[in-house]
Amino acid sequence: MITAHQLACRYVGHDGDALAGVTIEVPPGGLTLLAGPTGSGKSTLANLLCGVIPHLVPAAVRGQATVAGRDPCRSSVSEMSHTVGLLLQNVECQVFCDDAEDEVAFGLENRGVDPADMPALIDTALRCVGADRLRGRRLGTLSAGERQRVVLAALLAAGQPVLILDEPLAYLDRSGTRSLLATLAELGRQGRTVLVLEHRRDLVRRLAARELFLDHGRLADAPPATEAFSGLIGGPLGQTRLAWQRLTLAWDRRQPALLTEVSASVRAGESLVLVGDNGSGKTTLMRAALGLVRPRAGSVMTCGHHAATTPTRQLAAEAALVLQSPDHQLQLPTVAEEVGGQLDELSRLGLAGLAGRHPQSLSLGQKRRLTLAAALARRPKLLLLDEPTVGQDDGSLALVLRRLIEFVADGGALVTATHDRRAALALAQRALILEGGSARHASRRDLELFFDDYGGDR
Amino acid sequence: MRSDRPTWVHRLHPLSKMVAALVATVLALALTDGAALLVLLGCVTALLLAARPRVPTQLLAAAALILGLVMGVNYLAKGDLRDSAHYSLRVGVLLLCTPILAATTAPQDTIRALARCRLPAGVTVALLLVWRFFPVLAREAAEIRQADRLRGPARGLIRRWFRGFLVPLTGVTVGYADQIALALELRGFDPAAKRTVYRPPQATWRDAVFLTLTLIAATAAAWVQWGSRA
Repeated sequence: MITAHQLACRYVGHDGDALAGVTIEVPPGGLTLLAGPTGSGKSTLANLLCGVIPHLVPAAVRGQATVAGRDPCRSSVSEMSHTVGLLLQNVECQVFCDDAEDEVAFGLENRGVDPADMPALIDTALRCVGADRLRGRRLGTLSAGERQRVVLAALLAAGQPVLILDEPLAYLDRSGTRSLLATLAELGRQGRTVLVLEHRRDLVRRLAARELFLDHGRLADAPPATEAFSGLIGGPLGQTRLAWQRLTLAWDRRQPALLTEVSASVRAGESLVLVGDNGSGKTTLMRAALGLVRPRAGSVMTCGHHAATTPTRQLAAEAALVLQSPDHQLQLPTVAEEVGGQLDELSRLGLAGLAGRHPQSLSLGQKRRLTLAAALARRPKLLLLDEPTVGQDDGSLALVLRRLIEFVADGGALVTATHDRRAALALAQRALILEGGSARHASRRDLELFFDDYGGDR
Repeated sequence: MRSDRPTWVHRLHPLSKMVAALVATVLALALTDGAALLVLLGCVTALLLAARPRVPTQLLAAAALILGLVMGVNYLAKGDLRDSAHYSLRVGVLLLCTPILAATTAPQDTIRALARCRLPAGVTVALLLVWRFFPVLAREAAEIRQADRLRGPARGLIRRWFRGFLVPLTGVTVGYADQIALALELRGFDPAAKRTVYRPPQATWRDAVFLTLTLIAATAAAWVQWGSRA
């Protein structure tokens, strides 16, 4: 179904090949995992197979590729879209309509499908991804996982035999991950060829019929997937750096409470992990610590200040919050300026050699590590991280976890919200599980049980 | 600004709402009499209330500020309080018309209605993208402002605004435009190809009643200015 023979690609203005003579043959049907470290050429290969390269992203392409008999270099992207469906990592940028049914219909309208045939096609596509109950729902009211499902249905409705998904698990919780993987495996059994680009190999490998591993633009033998990282060792604890006291939070005044009566604290030299499904309130709880969200009831003490009455800029002198999207936080002309010239922070997070680059020219994983380096360079007493593992391959994740462990060992207080079992278990001295509007304190053992609950998210 | 639950205003045909907004806009620009403008503003406000929108307090404050500024600047320029009040009423009508349409009409319904008017697909889909872009931009701007505050104390208002807001907003906007253009092609959009329309909006008796009421309201406002003088 997908073949490539000595496929090579070099971006305009770059010295080296992003892909250097890749030869693959993926038979029809089944789930294939395409893995490899950041910058190994996964996205380049996916973009080549969809025709995005060379039609939208200029590059010199050598060798041959065919997808269901069609040459992506000789067919336009919209022509290739009849054969290949590509699910981009950022689902928000792929949504065009307000409700699920219209979203699926949008692609059919583009292809000139007879409106009389559309209801059946929409039904089948929504049912295929387990999203038929979302019909008629406004997309703005759906969780990240549900929105991803609707966009996947929108791709499926066009009936392409090949589907490519770029890091589909990045922002999904346990149940979302498990059900999406089950759906993809089922699509593979039904005869669709599904190619999943994913750093979290431990999650996909068990369901994949085959794995392709790229390294420096070439096919390589896949190393064993990292299922666990070495964790924190407890040390002496200092002053309380963060205390949520009987905190009740809501998205806005008209909404019911998102979290009720949450009480927890973190001390210097301590690490707390927040876990919970999409929409459970992890991010809101962390934002409240920096005064970005006003509590409906209760209080937050951050480094000895009342978060609700102290300006965020003042709190940020002692506490740092690294948000999910690095693009919102990077604003200086060079990587070195973002870390205030502290180049050792860059090298500790695998960013050495990038000091002179513009932050926006980095990959997503590199940008996220840069926002972490910039936060650490300010020497905060309290560090709060929202999903720090997204976009990190095993090697980068090991660097991130090692640096965070050092931060805690040096007396920093750390709060991490994550869906990643490996990161959660490596960083958790204590955990807070957010479920059903409340928070319960959990030990490491509880945390393991939490991730095992759904069976799949290991 | 959006409504929690659909009302009869939501169920109107998008073209009916566009016609009504156009009539109100033209009249607001043409009327000079305070009472006539008040009638027009009253009708538009009634329609807004019927749509039961959720209006954030900041938006109301911003609208009040704009109206106050318009009035103040006009008063300083002309020294005529009556004339300045007329300007504010006119701006009030203009400020309300588009948000009512936007808050009560799904973007895809608007482009489907326009497609029935035989507008080219390139134009209607471009309108859809612009329509979707503004809420995205507002959300991103709010996130960027928060992210800037998280960087701690900063000096220089203009420098902070440029680096802390404008630079990231530009980056995010360019990135969004790139991604949405790519997503559009991946979803099979080709401006030269024939597009079909799923569930085109249908005009009903509600639209007939609404357009009749629009005509009556417009006539009433016009009569207050021109008819009563005759």
